[in-house]
Amino acid sequence: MIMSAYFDYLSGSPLDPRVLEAMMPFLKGVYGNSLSSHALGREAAKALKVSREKVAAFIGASPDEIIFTSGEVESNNLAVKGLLMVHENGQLLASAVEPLSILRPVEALEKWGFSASLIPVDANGQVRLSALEKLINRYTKLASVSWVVAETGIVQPIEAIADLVKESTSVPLHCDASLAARLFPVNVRDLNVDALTISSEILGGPSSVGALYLRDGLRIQPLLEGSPQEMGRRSGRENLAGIVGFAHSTELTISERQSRFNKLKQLDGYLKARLKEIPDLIINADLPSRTPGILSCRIEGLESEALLTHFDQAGIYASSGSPCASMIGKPSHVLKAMGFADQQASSSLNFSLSWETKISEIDEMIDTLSQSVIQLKTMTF
Amino acid sequence: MLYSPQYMRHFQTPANIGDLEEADAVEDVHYTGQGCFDRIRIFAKVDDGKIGKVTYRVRGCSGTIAACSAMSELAVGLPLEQAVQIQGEDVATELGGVPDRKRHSVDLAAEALRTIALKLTK
Repeated sequence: MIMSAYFDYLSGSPLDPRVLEAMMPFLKGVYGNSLSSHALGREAAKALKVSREKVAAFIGASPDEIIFTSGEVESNNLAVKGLLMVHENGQLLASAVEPLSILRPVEALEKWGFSASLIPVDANGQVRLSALEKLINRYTKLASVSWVVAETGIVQPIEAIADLVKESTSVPLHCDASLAARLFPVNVRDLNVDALTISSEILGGPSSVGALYLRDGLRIQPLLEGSPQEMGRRSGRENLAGIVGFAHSTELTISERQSRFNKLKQLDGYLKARLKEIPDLIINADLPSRTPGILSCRIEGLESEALLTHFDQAGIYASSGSPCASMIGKPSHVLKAMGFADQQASSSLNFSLSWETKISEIDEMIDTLSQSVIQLKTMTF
Repeated sequence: MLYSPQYMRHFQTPANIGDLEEADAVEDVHYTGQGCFDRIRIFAKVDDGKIGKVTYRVRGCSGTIAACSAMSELAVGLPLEQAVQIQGEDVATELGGVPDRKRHSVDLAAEALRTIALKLTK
């Protein structure tokens, strides 16, 4: 099947050809180990240093505050587990709409004797600040809130959350900014966060590369130990070509972010208008603060997996939190935290766009969706 | 490919959808397992102790739609005492096999046929 339309950019994004070009020398000839003292090793170490400086500049951090990782999942695991495990015990707070790369480590920490509370969200998926205020206490050792909710595109009031956390406590705040960084300028000092996750792929960089910003002086327990890379905070040979590509993608993002934002906003408006032509379709959490290019919607009474199977046959790729489509087999925890019933969650489709998305792709998807909805509605009761 | 050609044929062009005005029985079944809300309304007509025609309405995923279609074709001509014995595996065979995550679909379609056949034998 030839792909005709792609709306799953949060699951996987193509590599920018300019990034690939920057990576090529490190995929071909520069194979030295950055720890080696010979010339090839020094060349690798230099590339690593330059890349670290670029990634640090991207988020307003110092180079030594950057820990390169294998991507968002590892960065989130390192933040949550690593910042808790330097303590004997304590409480962890995480929003109820965090990605599973936050929530699963939270569950693991609970099994290891730490306590955890999920910060409730309102019907739009935004953190309830009053609830956060009540949950923080002297045993709290970390709070973690993602800037943008992946499933709905809802933007969390991260500055207000940071102000609240920092107002009366010294609790470190971690923020997963993987999605936010593609559209919003990120400055860790202005945000007043202590740890921050960013990821390469969503910026047009290679997959399986990311970084964790860790404020200078904050102690962390490494997840991987055994060699001195990343100043002992993350052992293992660096993915040098990937890191070089990641760094280049951050430079491109800085120079093109505004034009990408404008393009995504235009595409998002068109997608939303066309989706509204579908009878009974409801946009989930349709707030002005929704990030353009990430949209969740539902057609109650229809199973999204059936729609996605029709899409797949037509070469149209999107995603859902539907249990039948999910290997996990549970309705979306994000939609459930927002108060959705299981059946509503199982009716939800997710569309994520790129600035490269074409209007013709949206038109083709809408045509297929219209036909599929008509067919499925004739079957239901 | 994730699904067999038979599965995709039954899903994309399902057979025997709709109400059956001359039905001798109508039954509703729904999946009771975790995280799935598929449900089927099945209609059946009996001719000389055998299933004469089966139609259905369905709210569900691609697997349950395909399984209902396959079941509705499989059922025709079956004596009622055989219809009450239908298992999910029989429906899966008609679909050329199903992945594990669609096992609930064939089981639910088979349950729909067993339920209405049992009612018709009473």
